[in-house]
Amino acid sequence: MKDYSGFSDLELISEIRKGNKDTFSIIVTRYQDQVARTVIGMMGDCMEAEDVGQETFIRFYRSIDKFRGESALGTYLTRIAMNLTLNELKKRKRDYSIFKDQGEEGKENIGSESVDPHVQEEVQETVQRAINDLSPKFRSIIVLRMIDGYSTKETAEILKLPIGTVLSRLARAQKSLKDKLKNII
Amino acid sequence: MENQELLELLIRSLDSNLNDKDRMMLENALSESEELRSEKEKLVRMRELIGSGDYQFKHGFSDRVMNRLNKSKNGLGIEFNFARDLNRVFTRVAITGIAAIILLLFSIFLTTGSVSFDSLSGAESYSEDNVISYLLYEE
Repeated sequence: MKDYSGFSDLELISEIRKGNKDTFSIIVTRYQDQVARTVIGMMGDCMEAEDVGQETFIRFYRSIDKFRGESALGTYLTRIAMNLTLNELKKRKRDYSIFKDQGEEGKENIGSESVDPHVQEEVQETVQRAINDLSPKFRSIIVLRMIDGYSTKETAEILKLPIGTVLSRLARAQKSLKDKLKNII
Repeated sequence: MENQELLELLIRSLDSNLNDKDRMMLENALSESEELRSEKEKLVRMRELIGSGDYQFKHGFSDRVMNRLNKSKNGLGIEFNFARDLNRVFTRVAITGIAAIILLLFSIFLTTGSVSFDSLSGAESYSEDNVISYLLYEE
């Protein structure tokens, strides 16, 4: 079997368009971590996050003819992932609005001096909870900027927002996070 | 300049290029204020913590995506997650049901002035004589 791993994204996409479906797995492997950062950053590490991650690639596969290569494939997939995640969060809010958030316990002080893996894990959980406490419009900006590592300009393009809005939301979100994480920073 | 404004300038400096005037102002403030330097360290540490999380799908993600694609005809079929869909439908039905019950109780309270078992069953509007005559003469 031919080795496609050295192919560029556009070459792989061209192969898929020709009907070589198996080459799609190379794209999935190449970008799964990037999509995971967006989806898990937004939703936390849960089953729905895996579902949304899978759906991101499936949506891309189904509309692969629409991809014109104007933006990098990673950015394109991040945009799909972010849109699907925001839709899922809206559905979740609608479906479960009568239930209270159950993740409140365990927010007490967690020291950051130790490098014990267990403590490190708890620190990460605390950070994720603080991110999840933000509303989706602030969370999406934190995730794209600080977890995915996009610039403010790229973040603005992905979310189709003016840069000024991104900067002001980023500032507000950071203030809020700083307060919530004051015990570990 | 107020501390709050300097803090906002500091936060902004981490995500965008400040103009010369603001940059100079921030640099001066940082060199003079221990508190502001501490705030900067906290912000940098917080950003490192957020960025250093383990955001990965479980092993075999690529295979699961390909399996799902292969299951659906040419990747174009529609798949249903029965349990999730049922859960969503049930939640909506349950919410509608609860709303209907609350409305019913409220309307009973408005018409009868109380929400007792009798008023719920409609027995309150019957006197004992009515019930006896109904039982005796109803064919």
